[in-house]
Amino acid sequence: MKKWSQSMLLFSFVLVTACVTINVYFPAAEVESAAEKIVKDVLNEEPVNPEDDQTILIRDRGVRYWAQQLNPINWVIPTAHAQADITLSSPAINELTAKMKNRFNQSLKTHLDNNVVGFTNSGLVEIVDASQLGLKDRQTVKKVVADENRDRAALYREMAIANDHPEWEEQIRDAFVKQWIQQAKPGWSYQNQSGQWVTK
Amino acid sequence: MAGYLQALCQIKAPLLILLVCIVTFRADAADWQVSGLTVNSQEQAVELHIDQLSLTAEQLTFSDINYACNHAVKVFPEHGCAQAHLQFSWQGQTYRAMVSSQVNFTQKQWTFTASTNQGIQISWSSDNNHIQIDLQQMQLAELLKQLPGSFMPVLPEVILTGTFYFDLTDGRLYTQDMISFSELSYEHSADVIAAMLRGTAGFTWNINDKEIEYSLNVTGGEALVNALYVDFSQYAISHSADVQVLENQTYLVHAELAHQASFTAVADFELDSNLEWQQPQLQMDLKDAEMFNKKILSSVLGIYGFGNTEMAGGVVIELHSDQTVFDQLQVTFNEFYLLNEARKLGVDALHGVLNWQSAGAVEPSEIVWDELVLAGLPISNSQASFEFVGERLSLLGPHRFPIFDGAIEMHTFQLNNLFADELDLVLEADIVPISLKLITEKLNWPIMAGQISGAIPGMVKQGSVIQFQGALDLQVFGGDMRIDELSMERLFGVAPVIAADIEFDGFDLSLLTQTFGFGLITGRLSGEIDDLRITNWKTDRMDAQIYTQEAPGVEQIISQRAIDNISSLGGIKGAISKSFLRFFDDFKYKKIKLSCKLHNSVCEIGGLKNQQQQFVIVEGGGIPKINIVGYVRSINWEEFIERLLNANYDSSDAGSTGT
Repeated sequence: MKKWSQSMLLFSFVLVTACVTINVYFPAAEVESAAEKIVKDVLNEEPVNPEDDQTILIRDRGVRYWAQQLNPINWVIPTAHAQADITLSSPAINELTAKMKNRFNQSLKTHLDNNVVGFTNSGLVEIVDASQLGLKDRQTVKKVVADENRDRAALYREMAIANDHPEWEEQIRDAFVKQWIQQAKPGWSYQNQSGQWVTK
Repeated sequence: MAGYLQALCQIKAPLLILLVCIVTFRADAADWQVSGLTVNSQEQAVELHIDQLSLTAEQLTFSDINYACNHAVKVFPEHGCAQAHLQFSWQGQTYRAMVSSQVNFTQKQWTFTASTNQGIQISWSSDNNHIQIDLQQMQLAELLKQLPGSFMPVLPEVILTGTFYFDLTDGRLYTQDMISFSELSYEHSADVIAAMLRGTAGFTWNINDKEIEYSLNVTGGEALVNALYVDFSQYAISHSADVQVLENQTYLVHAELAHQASFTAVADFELDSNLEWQQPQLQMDLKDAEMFNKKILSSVLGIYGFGNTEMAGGVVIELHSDQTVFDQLQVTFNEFYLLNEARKLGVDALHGVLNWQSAGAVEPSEIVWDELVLAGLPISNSQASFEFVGERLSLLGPHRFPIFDGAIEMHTFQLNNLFADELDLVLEADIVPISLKLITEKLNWPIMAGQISGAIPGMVKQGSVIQFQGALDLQVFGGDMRIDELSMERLFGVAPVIAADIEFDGFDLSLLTQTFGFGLITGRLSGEIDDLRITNWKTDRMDAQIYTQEAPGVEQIISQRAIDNISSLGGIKGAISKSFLRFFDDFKYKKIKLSCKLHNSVCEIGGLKNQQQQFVIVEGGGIPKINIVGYVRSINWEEFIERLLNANYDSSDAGSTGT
């Protein structure tokens, strides 16, 4: 009997340790963190304080994450996640972000401050209201917007490719949408999900 | 007399009969119709009222005409008043003016001068058959409020100064000399705006024939039309047009636009009642592309990512349509030159005609150039004959495009879905051997020896990605190279990318090492470069390994210099040349292998017998036996390339062994 019990215990232990769930998933939090760093770099912002970071993390993890944590089965059956080591740099990413940063400091910031340009809900920028500008400047801001959008589109694609998942491009773009808006300064314009321009 | 006179007067004073007679007399020159005429002559003033006065058939009708002279003056047979008040209504608008008049009814002579407080002075004398209208800082909108409604959306704000005339015989409103305009501003939308234009204008408006001709010389102000911006003080434009009003409120338009030195454009079209054009025909002769580009086009191209494009020569563009959308295009190039260094795109001395038609049979196109540069590669003097219909462009017959000392021979070339997001290319082409030295020189890559030749597969374009269908087989360095999964992304855009998987076999190492001046190595080299990604013409990512393979009759020898140079990649100078082994010129080797997994600018390097901290690059094969062992598994790619490219290694410094 004792031998049987020991065998059962051993069997149960083997069973439990043998049940490993491997979730291959889009590393939303990591990508968002990467997007946050890049956006912060481009917008030339100081890092936000860790407390805020934690708040964001908890909020963004969502119900599903916490349900998973509270599931007793997951206490005994370990979950193995694919390690998500998000690449933040490559020659292309570095060049694109350097160009964006330079453009931000030279012209885009002024246009954002003046609500001439705003962040769209597709991760790009768009002219919101150029009526305060002279005609020559309106053409110039069109170029700034077009250049920025070309770089942003390339950046999202290069981020996906640098991480060996070209199919992540749209999700990476979504992460950036969130970050551009989150890190927008008060008074800047952005497009909400229904496409309306609102002021932060 | 074109018509007849019908004067209907309500007689309130005996003098009125005389006045009616005068009117009857004047009616010999034009149609008149007067109704409700009242004249009131008192001791201190003379007042005249006409309910309605119609001139030139039914084109001009004035109503509620009131004339008052506050002086005791005669009415008949002579009348003169230095400051009379005139008020009348015309098409719903009431006008007021101060009038100076002098009339001799018996001699049929008169002179009227009326001045309005809106800056208009109207003069009419019996010596002329026209009314002279002088404008002084007059708002056009005020003047032309009575134009047909469909003209209203294109009426700009403008201030006019000058003289024009109204011809009473044929109902024409015209200018003899150009009148000046200023502060012409018009905003159709946020993207179509003209601001503070100034210049001169002339026009003839034939009211009876419903036709207007006008010309403008715009010498100041600015305009924005979508991406196009013009500063007219830097680039004066002349514009003229002839607009005929047809039935059903449609307009027949002939318009011209020109800049004296650089271009002329002529357009003919019909405008429907919604101001949408029908059957447009447009011809634009770009006489001086350099000036046009500098002043106009370059800022537009900048928006589309092709800023700093240089241009020169001439181009004539003709567009036609049988409906609303252009369906025929002809572009004639004359000594045309274009260069965009950043996009590695250019053409020199381009001549010929490009014909395009949306459907049906089209005239063949033929162009010839001195040099065409695509993605940095120059195609020398050659010509192309092709047919361009809808979204399909096909080369007519085989073509040979010389590149350096070789060529690309096109047997079949057909581009389909040219304007769609997904484009495909049917291609049968061969590369006639081209010297790698010339290609690499042009691309600023390390100079390579040997030649490149092979067959080029077809390709498809999806979004910004051009993907080759099938492998590109090349013969290079005496061996074979297969480039598979070749794709190009944003080729002429931001951060262009070339990606491929490459396999090569049997490269002659002596040719390869001569290329780099690296020191002689003989043998045969094979390898694979997987997931190669070149961004901005620099290697971004790859998983590569190269290794030698023994081949019958091929010696595997590595020179002292090559060993020194391989060692110096690890920062070690004169590994052999500083030791007793310097008496040997070369050494036999058994195998060479080097691998690099490049990611994020870091190369995870390896070779033979990989261990955690070391690997073998060269395994010696004779006496003395030389092994080159690497100890650093991660290297900075930029630094590695820098060392490789500067491999004219100075062996004068002392150094230690190892890599």
